[in-house]
This record gives sequence, structure tokens and C-alpha cells, in this order.
Amino acid sequence: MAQDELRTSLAQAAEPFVENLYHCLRCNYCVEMHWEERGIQHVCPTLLHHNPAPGYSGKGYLTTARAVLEGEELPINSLIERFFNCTTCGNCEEVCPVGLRPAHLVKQIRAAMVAQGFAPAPIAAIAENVVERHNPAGASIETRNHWAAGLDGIAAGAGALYLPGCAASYEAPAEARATVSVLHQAGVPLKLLPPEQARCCGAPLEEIGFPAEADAERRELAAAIARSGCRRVVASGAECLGSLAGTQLADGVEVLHAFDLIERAVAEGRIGFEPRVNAAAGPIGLLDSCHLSKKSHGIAGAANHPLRIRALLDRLGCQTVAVADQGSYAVCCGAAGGMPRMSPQSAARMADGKLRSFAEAGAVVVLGASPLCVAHLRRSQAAGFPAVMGVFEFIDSYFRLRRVV
Amino acid sequence: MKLSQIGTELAGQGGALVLEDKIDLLGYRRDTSIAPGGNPAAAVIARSVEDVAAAVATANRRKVPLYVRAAGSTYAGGANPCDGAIVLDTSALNRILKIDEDRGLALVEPGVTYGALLAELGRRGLTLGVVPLTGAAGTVGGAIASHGLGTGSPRYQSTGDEVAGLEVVLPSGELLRTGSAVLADAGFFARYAVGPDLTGMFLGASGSLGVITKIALWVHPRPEYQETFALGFPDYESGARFISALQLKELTHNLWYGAGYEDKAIEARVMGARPQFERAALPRFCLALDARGTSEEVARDRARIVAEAGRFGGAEFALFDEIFFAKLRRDNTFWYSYAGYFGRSMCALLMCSMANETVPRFFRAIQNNREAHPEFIWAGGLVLCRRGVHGAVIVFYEEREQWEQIRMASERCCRDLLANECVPYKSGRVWAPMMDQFGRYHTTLARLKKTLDPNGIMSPQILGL
Ligand SMILES: Cc1cc2nc3c(=O)[nH]c(=O)nc-3n(C[C@H](O)[C@H](O)[C@H](O)COP(=O)(O)OP(=O)(O)OC[C@H]3O[C@@H](n4cnc5c(N)ncnc54)[C@H](O)[C@@H]3O)c2cc1C
Ligand code: SF4
Ligand code: SF4
Repeated sequence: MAQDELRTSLAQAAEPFVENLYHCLRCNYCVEMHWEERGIQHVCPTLLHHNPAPGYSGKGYLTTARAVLEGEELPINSLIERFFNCTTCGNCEEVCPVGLRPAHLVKQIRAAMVAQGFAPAPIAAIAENVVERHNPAGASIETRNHWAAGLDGIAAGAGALYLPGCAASYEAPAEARATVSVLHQAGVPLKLLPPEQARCCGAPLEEIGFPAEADAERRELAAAIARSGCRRVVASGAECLGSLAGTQLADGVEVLHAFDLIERAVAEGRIGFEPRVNAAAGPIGLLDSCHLSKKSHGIAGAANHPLRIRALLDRLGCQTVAVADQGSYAVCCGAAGGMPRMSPQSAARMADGKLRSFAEAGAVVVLGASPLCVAHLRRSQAAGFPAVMGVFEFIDSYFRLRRVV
Repeated sequence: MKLSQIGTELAGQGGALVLEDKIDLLGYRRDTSIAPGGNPAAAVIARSVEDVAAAVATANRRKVPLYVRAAGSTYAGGANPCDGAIVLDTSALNRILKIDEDRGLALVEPGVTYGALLAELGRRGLTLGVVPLTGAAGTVGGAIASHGLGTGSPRYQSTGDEVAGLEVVLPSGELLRTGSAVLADAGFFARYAVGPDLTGMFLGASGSLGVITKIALWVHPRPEYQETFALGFPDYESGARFISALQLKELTHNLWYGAGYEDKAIEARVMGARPQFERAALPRFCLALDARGTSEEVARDRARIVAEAGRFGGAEFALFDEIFFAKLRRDNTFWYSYAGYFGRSMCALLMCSMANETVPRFFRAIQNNREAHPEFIWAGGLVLCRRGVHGAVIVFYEEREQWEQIRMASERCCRDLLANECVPYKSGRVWAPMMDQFGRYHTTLARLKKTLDPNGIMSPQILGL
């Protein structure tokens, strides 16, 4: 009975995507392709590192959803397993020549599965953590700001509110600290939300099929932002940036990635950089985090921070390496979409694949502008792989900022 | 998931991945074509020649049909299985085994994409002769097994003409090498050796005579310079006569792609981009060309080609190049550039070959079908070859409402094309109902198939076999 209801509900979730379902040419571009000039070497991390079966991939999800819509009886457990093993990276959308949106479909189908009580246990656990403790890892609310202990640059009266996001707060605290430190040197004091008011931006919930819960978190976060009185919100989390860009905030509140502030200050000639240590960092690999570089992630993706960070690194005289898959078509590192919880080994292989390609390209350090990716890659770091750092961690370690008056 | 008995047999000893979950099998039902597909019982993702041989042996033992498939992007229907079949997925057999610069060839597994191979060759200043426009995802095995064409066709003709030899798992499970590689130690270096050309038997066979497991392809120096230009003609007849002259004088040598456009396409493109353009001045046939070589070679040939066009009432039509073709080609060889062509709509693609003098009848046949079936959007185009041309009929339809109707309309169009001396090129399933029209060719092919594949397990129904 429950299964019948699920089938109906899945068909309803697929219906708004009917244009997509019946316009997939089955050209296979989202499955496997190699296009050197565009920096495309592979497309789907799930096919590469979880399972190469055609039930996965953009084409696979569209084909399956079409069968669901047409009333075919499909094994429920496999359906759930297939749809919850997508990182929602959006690379299939990036490469699709027809402009179809399989990653968006996946989120809708997940939501229908969740609504019918079919969320896989690890996925339900993430949602529970967010609802109860306002972070996907389930870490305690009270420790949220522990990363900031003893830091200069935090000021209760600051006009800019810093939202490091859950990943930086709990899993990549060094990046949060470095961000505050660098912005402090650049003359931008930051304010933090009190831990009990801080909320998840909702993006992780959206990706795993809990849109209502995501919305509730987002609304509470918006209220906390309003209470802070700040007109500027500075985020570190790539997914937070996208989520906040789609959130109704008070009029005139500006949302930025922390890097935007540095970039602006450089462009306006307000800051300079002095090397801190004699040794250069060595060849650097730059991670193209999906949330920051793929158009399917909305404004944040279109802003393409990795490209702009690369420009700053060039300006600072840092040597960067080129890897085969890079830019907006880079294959996902496996950090998002619930993958590390749903299939930890596959997610680790995704990270491993990423780091391996940087290692092969000669990188000794890999920089990420998304703390979620940084934390995930660090968990997979093996001997011989490059070190992984947040972009601000790197700047703070290797450069001292000088304010130009 | 526990495998069925046949699944266990298919898995054999090796590293093949056997799929029996209905969700995974959905992905093997259909290729890009409009042809209906069946529900396979199992699929095998082969990772070695041994996996291929084991799958073929299992299919034979159990007398279950087996269909070969790589990216599944053929629009001829050759990768569509029948109900209960085994699908042998060769896409993971994708290694570049050797680039032999001394012999001027690349030895590859069939599942390698053109994109991956071109990238590797490009690093050595090399390229391939003929590359389908879907090259980023399309595989070499799939293209040669379904008579590929595309970039390079004016210079080298067909993907098959660029094959130096093959390794094939026959329906019996035995391994055959063709060309000079019949002498194992000699390896691949010549297509024609010893006796008749057995390589040719597997080209365009759509997997019905065996599974190709290795391919030796000629490689060529990568041209350093590229430019495009377009020629306009007052009618199809003069355009066709010009193409013959171009080919006979071997002015196609530095042309790497040539596309012929019918009047409707010219009008739509030009008037869309320049509404003020005088409609009466539009050419009725346009040939857009992509020339590559050294800049001197290209400049020299371009001048000669334009002069030759003048003898047939043609002239450069720079506007067409500017508003459409140049961008299409600059965007690279692959069919991304075709996105504007395909838009958000599904299409039937019927591919045929023809002698140049047939071109006007080809376009007339399309016009007749357009009038008979106004519920679809019809387009026709030519791909220039070293000799003759390929014709593509593209019929846009709405898959949700018109899938039945498009199949009927396509079949009717195929019959019209045959009546107008257009010969099927990519045949697979789409042209299968017409195969009995080829008399002794078809019966001989069927006899050959019976000899090689007595149980009829390899791709039944494909090519009408
Ligand atoms: C929009 C669009 C544009 C296209 N443009 C072109 C073009 O310009 N030129 C062109 O030639 N094609 C074109 N194609 C068709 C197709 O993309 C290419 O021919 C491609 O190279 C086929 O490779 P595949 O891996 O998709 O083959 P598949 O579709 O998987 O297989 C094609 C056929 O080959 C057989 N086959 C596959 N592998 C083997 C093997 N190892 N041994 C024996 N048989 C095998 C299959 O059974 C099937 O019959 C186009 C397709 C689309 C959708
Ligand atoms: S969103 Fe990413 S993981 Fe999911 S199907 Fe698309 S490419 Fe694969
Ligand atoms: S790239 Fe787009 S059209 Fe092609 S198979 Fe994937 S979803 Fe379908």
C-alpha cells in the first residue's frame, strides 16, 4: 500500500519535469564524454566511483523517472538507492546540450520519497541533525562558535555579519579562523551570530529531499540576520551563498562570499600582499567546487569564484597546475548531496580520484573555496597526496595583508 | 542483488559487471533512434576480451539474443535489443592501447570515445581522419559498426575507410584478426592483405556479425589552420554539378567538413538573423565548407573552389558563414554545435548515401514528405564526401504524443528515398524493414550471417537479419 502511494507520489514529482523526460535524446553526454578544449574528461562522479550502471547518471535518472511517470513497476529499494546516490553536483546539467535538468529532478524525486517515509536512514539522520541542532553533522549548538575563540577581528558592533556555515564552523574551523584573520587585516571587522541563533542555510536539506525543513531553517536564519542589524552578510560556505541568494532577506542586505571582499579590495587598490614565508607554497591545485562554479547552482555557480581565485593567485605569483577536468565541468569531489553519509566509501573514492588527479598534475597543495569540499577532501587524504587548504587558510599562511591608505 | 543463473554464467570468472536490476536495464532499451526497443533480461559491462567471449558463449549456449552497445547514441536503432536479450556493453573497453607513429596508426579498444582519442593524438600533433559530430561521447567501435561519417568526410569519406584492421570476437566466441594482423607477429599495418578484405564485413554490421574488440585506425597530422566559407547556388542541380567537379578535381583534399543546406534552412537562418535581407536574392542551395591545412593551402584552394563555383552559377555567400556556419565550426567539431539544430525537440534521423546527381531528387522527396506530414518539422541536409554525398533527413517530433506516428512517417520517407535512388547508410533497425529490397545482397548477407552465427544470436532483426 505504502509502495503504491510512493509510486503515485513519485509520478507526481516527475510530472513537472515532463518536458525534460521526453526531450532527453539519450546522447550520452552526461554519462561519459571527453572534450579536451572544454576541460571535460568525465562527467558523473556517481558512475565513476559508485556504480557504472545506467540507472545512475543524468540520463539514467531521466529514463527512470519517465518509466515511473508511465506507470512501470520498478523495484522500490533500487529506486531509492539510485536516487539517493547522486551528489546533485549538476555536472550532467552543465554538459547537457539540450539544457535538461536531471539534478533538479533528483531533488524532487528525493523529496517525494522522503515525504512518503522512504528516506534512507543515513539521510534521515542528516535531516534530524539539522532540525534538532541546526547542522548536518549533529554537533552541539553550544560549540558552534568555538572556532573563533581568542580571535582578533570579531566585533559586536561590526556592520558585516560573518556566516562561516556549518562545514567551516565544525569541520574546517581553520578556514573560518583564517577568513576572520584575513578580513581583519583588510580592515573588515565581522560580527557572529550567537550560537543559539545560528541556523543551517537549508541547502543540505534541499539537496537530500527535505525542502520544507530547509525552508524553515532558512527563514529562521533570515530572521537572525535581520536581528543582527547588519546590512552585509559574508559567507564562507559555497552552498550557503547559493541558498542565501535565494532567500528573502531584509531590503538592501548584501550577501557576499568572503573572497568577494578581498577581490574588491584588491581591485580598488585598498590592500596589498606581502609574502609571509620565504618558501613558496609549491604548485597549487585549485578545486572547482560545484556550488561555486556550475551554472545549475544558480547565482553562486554563475559567479564562478574558482576562476576568480585563480586570477588572484596568478597576480600573487603563485604557480597553479592544470588538471584534465577543471572549470565549470570539473567532476564533483563527492562532498555534497548526502553522499558522504549515504555511501561513505563511494564519496571517499570521489575525493581520492580528485586528489589523485591533482597529485598527478604535480600539485603539492590543493585549495578549495568551499569548506564543505575542503573538509571532505581532508578526510580522504592519503600519503603522497597534496595537502588540502581553504583559500583563506592559504592566504593567511603565506601572505600578510597590507592596507593601502 | 543475487544474480540469476544466466547472470552468474555471464559474470564468468572475470571482471565483467552483470546487471539485472530493472532500473539499470531501462537504460539499455533504446538508443538515440526512434526505433522501439525491448526489455533486455540482463546486461554485461565487459572489461576484457575474455568477458566479451564469455558473454557470447553464454548467449550461444542458452540461445539468447545478444546486442552490442557502447554509448547508444546511434540514431539507426542498431543498439536496441529485443525482449529477453542480453546487452553487451563495450563502453568500459576504452583503452588506447598504442599510438604507433612509425606505422601511422592508433590501436584502440572499441569503447574509447573519439574525444579521448583525439585529445591523446592532439598532444602529438596528430588527428583522426573521420570523426562523427558526436565525437565527445560517441565511441570508435559504435561509429565504425554503424558506418560513421562527419568531420573529415570530404577528405577521407567514411569512418570505415580509416580502419586498418580489426580484432573481432565471432559469434562462435573465437577471436579473428583482420588485415596484416592475420599474421599475429606482424600486427596491424595494412588493411588489404592475403585475400579478401574481412575487415569490411564488420563495418556497418551493427554488431550482427561479431563483437569488435580492437580497432587499428590510421592517424594523420593535425592541420594547423582552419577557416570556413559558404557558397550559394541558384538551385540544387547546379550545386550538385559543382560538387561533382569539386570532387573530380580533388579540391576536397583540404576540406574537412562540408554541409549542404536546402532552401528552407537557408531562408530560416538568413531571414531570422537579417530580416531586411532581400528574400528573392537568397540562394536555393548552400554548401558551407570547413577548410584546413596550412594557411597557404587553404587560401589557394578557397580561391580555386570559389572560381569553380562560378562556373556553375554559384558564388560566395559570406552572410551564411557569418551568421551560422563559422560559429558552428568554431565551437568545435562536435555536435554541441548542432544544439541549435536539435533545440529541445526529439528527432528522427534518416541517413542515406547518394550520387551527386540524385541531390535534387533527395530534396524533392523531403519536400513531398513535408507536405504529406505537416504535423512534423522536416529538415534535410547533405554531408560532403570524397565521392558522392550523404543525405540526412531530420524529422522533429514530440515523443510523448507522436512516437507512433513518427515511426510510420519515417518508414514512408525511407521508402521514398529508396525510390529516389538514395541508398541507406546507417541502417540498424530503422531501415531494416526495407532490407528485402536489396535482393541478392541481402540473401548473401543472410547466408554469411547463418554461417558465422548459426544460432542467430547476434543482434537479430538488425539489418533485417
Ligand atoms: C545528434 C546526433 C548527431 C550525430 N552525428 C553523427 C555524425 O555526424 N556522424 C556519425 O557517424 N554519427 C553521428 N551520430 C551517431 C552516433 O553518435 C555516432 O555514430 C557514434 O560514434 C556511435 O557510437 P556509440 O558508442 O554511440 O555507438 P552505439 O550507439 O552504442 O552503437 C552503434 C552500433 O554499433 C554497434 N556496436 C557498438 N559497439 C560495437 C562493437 N564493439 N562491436 C560491434 N558492434 C558494435 C551497436 O550494436 C550499434 O548497432 C549522431 C548522433 C546524434 C544523437
Ligand atoms: S548531479 Fe552529478 S552525480 Fe548526479 S547524475 Fe548529475 S553528474 Fe551524476
Ligand atoms: S546530456 Fe541531456 S540529452 Fe544527452 S543523455 Fe544526458 S540528459 Fe539526455
